[in-house]
Amino acid sequence: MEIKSNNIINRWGVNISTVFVSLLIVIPLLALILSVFKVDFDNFYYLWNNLLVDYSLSTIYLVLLTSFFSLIFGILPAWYISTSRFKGKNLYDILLYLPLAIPTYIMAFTYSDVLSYTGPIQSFTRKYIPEISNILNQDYLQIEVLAIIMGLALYPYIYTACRISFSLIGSNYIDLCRNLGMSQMKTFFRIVLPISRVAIFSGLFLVIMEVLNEYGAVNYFGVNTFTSGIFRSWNSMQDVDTASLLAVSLFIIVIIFFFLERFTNSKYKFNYSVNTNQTSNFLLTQSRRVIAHIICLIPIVFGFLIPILFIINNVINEFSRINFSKLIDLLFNTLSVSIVSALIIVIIAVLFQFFRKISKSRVVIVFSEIISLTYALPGAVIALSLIILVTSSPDLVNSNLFIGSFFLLIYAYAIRHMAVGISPLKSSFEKHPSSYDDTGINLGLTPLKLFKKIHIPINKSAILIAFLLCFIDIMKELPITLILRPFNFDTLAVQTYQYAIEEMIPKSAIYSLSIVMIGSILLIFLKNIINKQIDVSKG
Amino acid sequence: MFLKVENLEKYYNKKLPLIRKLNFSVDKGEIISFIGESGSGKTTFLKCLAGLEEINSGIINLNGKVLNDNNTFVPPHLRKIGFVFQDYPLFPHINVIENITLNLDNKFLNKIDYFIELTGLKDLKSRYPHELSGGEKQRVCLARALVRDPDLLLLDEPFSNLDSNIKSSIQDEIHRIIKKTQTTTILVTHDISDTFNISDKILIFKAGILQQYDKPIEMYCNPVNCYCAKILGDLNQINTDNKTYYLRPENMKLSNNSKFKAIIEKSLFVGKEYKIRAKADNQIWYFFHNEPISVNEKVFVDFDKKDLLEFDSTCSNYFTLNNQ
Amino acid sequence: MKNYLLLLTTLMLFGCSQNENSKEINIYSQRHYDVDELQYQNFEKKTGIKINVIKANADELIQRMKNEGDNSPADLFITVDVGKLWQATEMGLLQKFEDSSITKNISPELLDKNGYWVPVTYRSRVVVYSNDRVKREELSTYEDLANDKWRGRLLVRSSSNSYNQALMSSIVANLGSEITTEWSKGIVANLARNPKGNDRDQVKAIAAGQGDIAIVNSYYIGLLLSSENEEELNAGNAVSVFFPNQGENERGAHVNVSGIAIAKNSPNKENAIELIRYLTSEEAQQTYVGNTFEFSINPNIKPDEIVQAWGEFKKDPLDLNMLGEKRAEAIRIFDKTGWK
Repeated sequence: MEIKSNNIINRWGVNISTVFVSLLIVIPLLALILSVFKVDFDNFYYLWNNLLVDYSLSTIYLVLLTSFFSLIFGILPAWYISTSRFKGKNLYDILLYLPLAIPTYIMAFTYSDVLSYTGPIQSFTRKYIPEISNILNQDYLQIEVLAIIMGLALYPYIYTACRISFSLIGSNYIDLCRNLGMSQMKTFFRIVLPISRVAIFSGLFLVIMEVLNEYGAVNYFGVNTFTSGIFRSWNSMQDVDTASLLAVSLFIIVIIFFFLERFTNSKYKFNYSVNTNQTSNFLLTQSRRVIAHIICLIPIVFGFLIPILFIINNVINEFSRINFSKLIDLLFNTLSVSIVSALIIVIIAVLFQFFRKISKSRVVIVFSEIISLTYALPGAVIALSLIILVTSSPDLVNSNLFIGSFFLLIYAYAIRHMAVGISPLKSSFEKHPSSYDDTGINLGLTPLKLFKKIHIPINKSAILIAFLLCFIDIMKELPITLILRPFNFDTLAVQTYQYAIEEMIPKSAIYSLSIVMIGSILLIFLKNIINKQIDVSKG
Repeated sequence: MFLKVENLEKYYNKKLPLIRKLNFSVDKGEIISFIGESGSGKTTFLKCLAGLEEINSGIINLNGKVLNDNNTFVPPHLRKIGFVFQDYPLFPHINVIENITLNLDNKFLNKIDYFIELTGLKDLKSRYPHELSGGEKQRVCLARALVRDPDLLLLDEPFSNLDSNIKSSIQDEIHRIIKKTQTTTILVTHDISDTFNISDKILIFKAGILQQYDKPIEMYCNPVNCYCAKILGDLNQINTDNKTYYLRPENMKLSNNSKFKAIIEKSLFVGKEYKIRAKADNQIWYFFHNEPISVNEKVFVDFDKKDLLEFDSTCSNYFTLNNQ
Repeated sequence: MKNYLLLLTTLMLFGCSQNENSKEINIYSQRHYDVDELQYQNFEKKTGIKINVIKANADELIQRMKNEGDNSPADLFITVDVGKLWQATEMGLLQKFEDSSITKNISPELLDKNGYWVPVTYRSRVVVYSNDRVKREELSTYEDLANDKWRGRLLVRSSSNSYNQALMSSIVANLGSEITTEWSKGIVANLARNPKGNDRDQVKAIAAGQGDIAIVNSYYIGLLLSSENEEELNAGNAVSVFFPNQGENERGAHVNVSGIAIAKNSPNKENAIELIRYLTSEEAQQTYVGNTFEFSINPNIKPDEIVQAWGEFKKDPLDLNMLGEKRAEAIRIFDKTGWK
């Protein structure tokens, strides 16, 4: 004797709309997979026999090294800042985020210039300290140097994750460790680090994604990664299908890691105790304090101060030649397209999390996870697959209307950066108990009212964080913009890159500087919001 | 019969039903305690009543209206049921008065002051949830529910999260408030001591079925099976005449000579007297005495035969669908 | 407010695609030097025709044109590597056009025998050598660079760069695959370091003493020698330019062109031809020569002074389309011989 459901939430409506939007986002992946079946296997075997081994080894090496450096630059300062008291720690806390404002390729080009034979360091030593100049005269375009540079550019992902995790662990554990006589080191390695596994791995995942996606910096340093292989078959061999096959393989490898990480970490998902104090606990000895300062300063100086000083120096030198009207144009373009795209992403992400909360349906949960996976596709691949998609059905869609239009550009941005918007929203929505929704329903709130009056206000900071993160990422974005942008529409990132690869780095400086300044200001703003969030999440 | 539940069945997985054929009714204004172990389905039951979950079969009838049966499902917001959840959820971004009046129908507006007064929240009206203690949060949830004049009030583990020293005063408060408003109430808890003295009736729930449903005193004095008996208090197991009997501690007394011997293990101070723990053969017995008795002393105990409780089967059993 | 935003978004989404305006040209260009913008501005001032440019990597532009098909709004395709023009021709993305008023001003060996594209500037891929450590007499031909005597002294950028691919194509076309393969092996053996960085980095490396000779495009030296950065100036002065294969029986130095062609379905063909005419005119050619240190396709126009100082040289008369035709083979040889 079964009773038919007449649930207040229109299950089917929610399911269908979720699936529809998810498909829109996942479709390029499907187009890619379909093109795999058209592969010319001769080309593929050629690649396989000649180059793939080399590519794969370089990729693995670069990923490992970069991970190593970003872990060091991220975890150590996070530990000191979360659990110790020393002067300047709050300032460091803000500054440590800032390298995120500098795109990786800018960091790479800048450092290769700084370190080069004609750059400031070697020029200076040649003039004044000639004894050292011979030692300094090395070929710095090595994979190891690239890994350090990328580590400096990407460690903030790990720093952020650790900051939040270490702070939320709560003084209870740490007090307990002190009571048991464990030193700060022991506490760190035996207790805090294992508990923070989940956070660290999710930060590391983002770092690895960025390394795999990077093309400009990697190419310049003469490192041939898997992604280089994709572009080589695409460009040099004009074999789009092999490129797609490689892209799909890369994607599958990433997915495997993604699920592996999920799987092994699911046992370690701890719920942080609420109502814990955040007082910093360890008092530092004099020598420890010095170490703390050094550990925090190194990433800040090398990851942010040196690059930005170099860029500012270039701007000053080129000042009289700056085309300000062009700068304003580019600023307007960049800001408007980034704002619109970030808005669309956040709206979709918020709706998805809301549907997830109230419908509890398997379908919704699965699909809202799937849409994050497109992050693993290199931007250029997404752009290309969209073009293929749109042009392969000329009857259905007037491709003239779409290609070279903002629609496609923003669509591609949304696909690539959906994961960035979803992540903070997901953890915020999950933090609130389901009894909020039950209470709302019991009090007679319609789903729409529940959404507007309850979920939006209580997730306000997460919504803002998601928006800002998406905005900063899209502002820095390069490959998709290069391929899909409409006529006469350049962004700051595009102009920077074009000058840089044409070996005109000083001319690119003003545009780099704009990106970095906007990004830095927003990051500082973001930091304040996150800090407030950590405070309010108590109790 | 204000609330009538007939043959209610609920399962997530057909092989593991949560609630099987539940039948009971509640009169208007009564406070019922629904006792069950953690995970036994108590909260699910409340959610079924409130319409937040669908039942698989059965009929729910409240105040003459069918809320749920084969053909009908009244949506939650039309059921006139108030629900206070276990974690006293108050929306963090609005203050007390805004929480109480959220989505409140105009016809209840003039009642607000009365309920604020009744729940003692007058001075806390503009506070925000993070500025309230656990007990205060609970009272806000209560006011929020009561101001809508519900036919039925559901409280999920209302006392579990409170400090024990204020528990009894809060229990009194809740009782006073509910009785003042004559609201029919179902209270769900895993610990009987929380609600023993404020319930009109107690329903013991185990293995998906109703074990016993009666006034507290009946439950205590005439438990229908051993499981129910044990829930409401200690039991001494006495084997004699080839039969197994059970006895409440307060019915066992020290005696000068009897056929029941015991060795004292410990004397526990409980305030007005001592609760003595003794060992007899392989059984642990409890009884009360006004003085402590030294350890290892041998004593005799005795009791009135009519106080003995006897059950059909051994004392780990409770009713299942087969042997009810 | 909400309505305004909605309107704006809709407009942005669907507007700005492309206008079917007759006073316009749409250019898909790989070139994006400041001088190009200058040229376009001058053209617009002169003719009132608005120029819309989309700048990207040549391969990406080709892919885009291919996928856009008949509906492509492209009028002109401009690249810095003739091999890409050949490729576009092969893929049927361009249309032939004849205009002797334009081609009469161009050195005949630089023209497209098939009549699809028109050269706008040209450059040579030359050998630069350290003034301190190499004597000019030691250099002769590209082939000689594979000689043992240069072991560990040669610098060149990655094989994925199209300039190297074009050079390799010319050698394959001239000498055949077998000889070229041996040559490439010799080059790889002589490398001072794994290929990395760009052309100017190779020159800087010579100045730094990390190598003695390098293969670079001619105009980069001009750029170094006119740089405001003292260090770059020094690096430029530390080397000299050598045009290979200039001997009596030698074929001449390898050259490549920046070229322009009309897209197959160009919606504004007349305007497109106007622009081609302008860019090959004396006025525009002088602008190029003075700004980018390239060579003019007009034999009457002399290169910049700095470039003139390197002397005259004879060009490899090879049909430039070969730089595209032999490209696939060239890349295979790169990969087989390990030139990364």
